[in-house]
Amino acid sequence: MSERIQSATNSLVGILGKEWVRSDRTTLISYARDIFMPGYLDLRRGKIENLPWLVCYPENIDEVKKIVKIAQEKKIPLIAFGGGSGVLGGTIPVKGGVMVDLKRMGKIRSINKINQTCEVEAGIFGEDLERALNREGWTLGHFPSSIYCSTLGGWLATRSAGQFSAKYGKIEDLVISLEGVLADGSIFHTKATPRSATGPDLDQVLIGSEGTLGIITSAILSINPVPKVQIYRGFNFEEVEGGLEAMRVLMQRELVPALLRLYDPMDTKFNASKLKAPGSGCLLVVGYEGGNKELTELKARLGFEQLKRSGGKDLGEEPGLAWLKHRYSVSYHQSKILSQAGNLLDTIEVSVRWSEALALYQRIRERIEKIGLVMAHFSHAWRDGVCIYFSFLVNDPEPEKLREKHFQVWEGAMSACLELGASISHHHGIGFYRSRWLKQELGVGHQILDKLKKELDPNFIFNPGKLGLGEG
Amino acid sequence: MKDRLKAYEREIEFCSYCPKLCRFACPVAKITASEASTPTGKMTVIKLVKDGAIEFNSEVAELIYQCSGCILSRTYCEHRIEVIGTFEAVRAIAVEKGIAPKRVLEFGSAWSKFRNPYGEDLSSKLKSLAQAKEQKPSPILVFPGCTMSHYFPGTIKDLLLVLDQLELEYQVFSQEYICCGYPLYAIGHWKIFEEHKKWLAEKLNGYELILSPCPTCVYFLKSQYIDSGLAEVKKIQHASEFIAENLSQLNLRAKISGKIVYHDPCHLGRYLNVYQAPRKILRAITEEGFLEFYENQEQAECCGGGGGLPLAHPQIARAIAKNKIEEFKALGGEVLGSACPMCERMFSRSGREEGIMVRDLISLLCECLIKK
Repeated sequence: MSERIQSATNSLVGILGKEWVRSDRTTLISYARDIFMPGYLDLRRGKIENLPWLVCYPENIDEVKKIVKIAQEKKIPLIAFGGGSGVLGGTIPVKGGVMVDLKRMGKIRSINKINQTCEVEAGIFGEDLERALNREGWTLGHFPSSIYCSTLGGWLATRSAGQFSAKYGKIEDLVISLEGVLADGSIFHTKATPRSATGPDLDQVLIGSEGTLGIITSAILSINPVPKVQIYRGFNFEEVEGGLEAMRVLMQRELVPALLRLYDPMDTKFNASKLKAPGSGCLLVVGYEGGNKELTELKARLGFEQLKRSGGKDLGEEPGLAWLKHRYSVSYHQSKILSQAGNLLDTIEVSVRWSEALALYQRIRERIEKIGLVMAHFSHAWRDGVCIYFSFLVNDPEPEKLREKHFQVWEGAMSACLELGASISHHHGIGFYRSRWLKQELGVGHQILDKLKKELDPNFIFNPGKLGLGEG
Repeated sequence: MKDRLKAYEREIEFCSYCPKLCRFACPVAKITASEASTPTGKMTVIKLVKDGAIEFNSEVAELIYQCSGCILSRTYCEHRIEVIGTFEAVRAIAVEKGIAPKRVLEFGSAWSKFRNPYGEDLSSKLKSLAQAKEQKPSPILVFPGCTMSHYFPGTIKDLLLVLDQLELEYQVFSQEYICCGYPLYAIGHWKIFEEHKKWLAEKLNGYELILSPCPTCVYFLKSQYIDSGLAEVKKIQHASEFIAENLSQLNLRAKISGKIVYHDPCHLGRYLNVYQAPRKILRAITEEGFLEFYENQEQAECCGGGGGLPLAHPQIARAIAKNKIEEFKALGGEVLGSACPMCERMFSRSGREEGIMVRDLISLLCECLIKK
C-alpha cells in the first residue's frame, strides 16, 4: 500500500472508525465488478482486476463531506456506490480509488402527506423504500426490474426509468430536490419547490451524472397514493409494425396507461408460457391503475377499445396479470445462461421517436442476428417515441472471441442509433462502456459536460473514466 | 476443495452469476452494508476459491460465517436456492484446515464435556423436571433440545402441563446428551457431529412420534436423522403443530389481553413450512387477536440466532435482533410472541434494556389453561 493510500486510510479510520473502512481482499473483490456483462467473463476465468483500494461506509452527509476533503487533499478517486446493479460498468473503479458505499445512509427521513413527498437517503434499496411507503399508503411508482438490488442513489445517478413511468414519471420527474457533496467539499441542497424559473435546473444537471460531478446523498421525491384499482390486459398483434402504431395512438389520445409494453415475435415466443399468451405474433401488455375506480375503469375501457380498433386481439386479463406477477423475473435468467461456458448475454435499451422506431428496430435486429440471438420489446412509451429494449445472446468457446462478438453487437446497435438520430441509452446510462459513443451522441453537449466537470472537479476525483469526461 | 463442493455446483454458479436479486433482504448484509456479505458476494468468493483464483484462508473463512441460515434469500430466488448448505460445507473444510474463526475452533472442546453448546449438565436439569411426573414407557418422545433446556426450562414445564391436559403418555428425552447436533453441523464441526449423530440416532430409534418445542431440533432431527433413514421414527412435529391439532381438547379460560406480535422463526416457517399452527393457537388465546410483523411468514426477517452467527459474529447477530425489536416497538407491541428458544433468547437479550417482554406461545397458552 502506497504512503498516500495508507495516509488516506488512517484519516478515514479517524472519521468513520475501523469497522467502516475496509481493505480486506474479499471486500475489495466484491466491489471490483458490477453487473457489466463482460465482467462475468473475468469471473468465469478467475481473473480479478479493477480492485478498489479501500471501501468506506459513511453514515451521514458530514462524513461524506470529510471523505471528499481527504480525497481532494490526497488526489484519490472516489466512486459512489449503491447496489452495484448497473450494467455499463458505472461503479467499476477503472482507475482505482476509494469506494464510498452509501448503504448506511438508507433512512426515510420523512413523509409529507400535504405535499405528497418523501425525503429519503440515497443508499436505500428500491424494494425497501417501496415497501416502507406502501405501509403508509403511498407508492413512489418507480419500478425498475432491478428494484431488489438497486438503490435510490443509483437510480438518480443513471437517470433510471421504471416499468410504470408512463403514469408516475421517470426518476428525473419524481425529484423535487437533491442534497449532496461537491468535489470541493461543499454541500449542495437544492430548494424543494414545485417549480422555479431561476436559471437552469441544477437537479437535472446532477441526475444522470453517474457520480462524476458530486455525490448525491438524499432526495425529496414526489409520491402517490397506492392505487386502489389495477386493470391489466393482454393483446396480440400480428406483427411489430401494427403493435407499435397502436402504442403510438394510445399514447397520443389522452388514454395514457401506467404500463404499456410490446414484445416482438421472438420475445413473445420466449415469454409465452410464463405470460399465459399465444407464442406467435406480438404480445402487448397494458395496464391502468389509479385511486379513482370510475375514472380508471373508464380509461381502461376506452384504452382497450382503442387497442382493438388498432388491430389488437383481446387476450383478456390473464397475460396482464401474469406479467404483473413475473415483472422482475427476467433477471433470474441471467444465472442460468451465464453459468454455461461460452455464453454471454446482455441488453441494450435505446430511445427513438415514433417516426424512426420501426426502422431502428429492424436495423439493430438485423445487425445482431448476424452475430447472435436477439429479441426485443418496446418497454416504455411516450407521446413522441418509445424505448426499444434488445436482449441478445452471443456464443463462442474462446473468451476473447466472445468478448469481440459482444462488442460487435454493441457497435452495430450504437451506430444504428447515431445513424437514425436515436439516443444510445434510454435508462441504463453510460458507465465506462458506452462512453466511446457518447461524444458522437452529445456533440457540443459533451464539451459542455467536459467543461462543467473540469470546473466542478478539477482534480477528477469523482468516478474517473466514466461518461468519457476528461479524455481530451 | 473442488471435489468437496461438487454437490453445490448449481448453487455456487447460479448465485455467482446472479445480479444479487436477494440483496435487499439479506439480514446480515443489511447490518454490514457490505457487498461481500451478500449471498452473491459470499458465493462469488467461494467460486473463486473453488476455481483456484484465490486462496482459502482465514479471511475467506471469516466471511463464510457471516450467515444466519435464515434462507430468506430463497423467498426472492426463482431458483429456490438455499445458500446455507454450501456455506456449511465450506465451513466444514475451514474447521478441518484450522482456518475457521477462533471461537468456532474452540467450540469443539467446549462441546466435549456435555455435548451441548452451553457447557452445562442439561441431562440432570431435565431429569429433575421430568421427575415431577412418573415416566411410563411410551412411543411418544418429548425432545426439549439444548437451547430450551438451558435458557427456558419453564417452557418445557409448561409444555408438559399442556400435554398432560391432553392426557398424552410420553417420555421426556433426558439422556446424557441433549443436543440434536445442529450447532456442531452449522459451524462445520462435521467430524464431531458424525460421532454424536450415531449415538443420538440409536436413542431416537423406534419412536412413533417426537415432539419438540424447538423448531431447529425438529428441522434438524427430521433432515439428518429421520428422512435419511438413520433413525426409524414415524413422525416428528413441533409442539405448536401438535397442540394446534388438539386445541379443541384443551380447557381454556379467559384470554390474554395486550398486543402480542408474532415472530415466525426461520426453522419453523421457511424450513418446516409451519405458519398457521402458531397463529391458530394465538387466535384461541388472545382477546383481540394478534399483530404481525410487516414482513411475515415466508418473508419474515430473522432474529439473527441461527447458523452459528451468534458464535462467529455476535455483533452482527445482536444487531439483526435489535432491528426487529425496533420494528416491534414501532408496531406498538407489548409482548413479542415466539415459538423458538433461540429467537426468544435473541430478542430477550436485545430488548432487555428496554424491558421488552418475549414469551413462547406454549407458556402463553399455559396461562390460559384451566387446570383439571
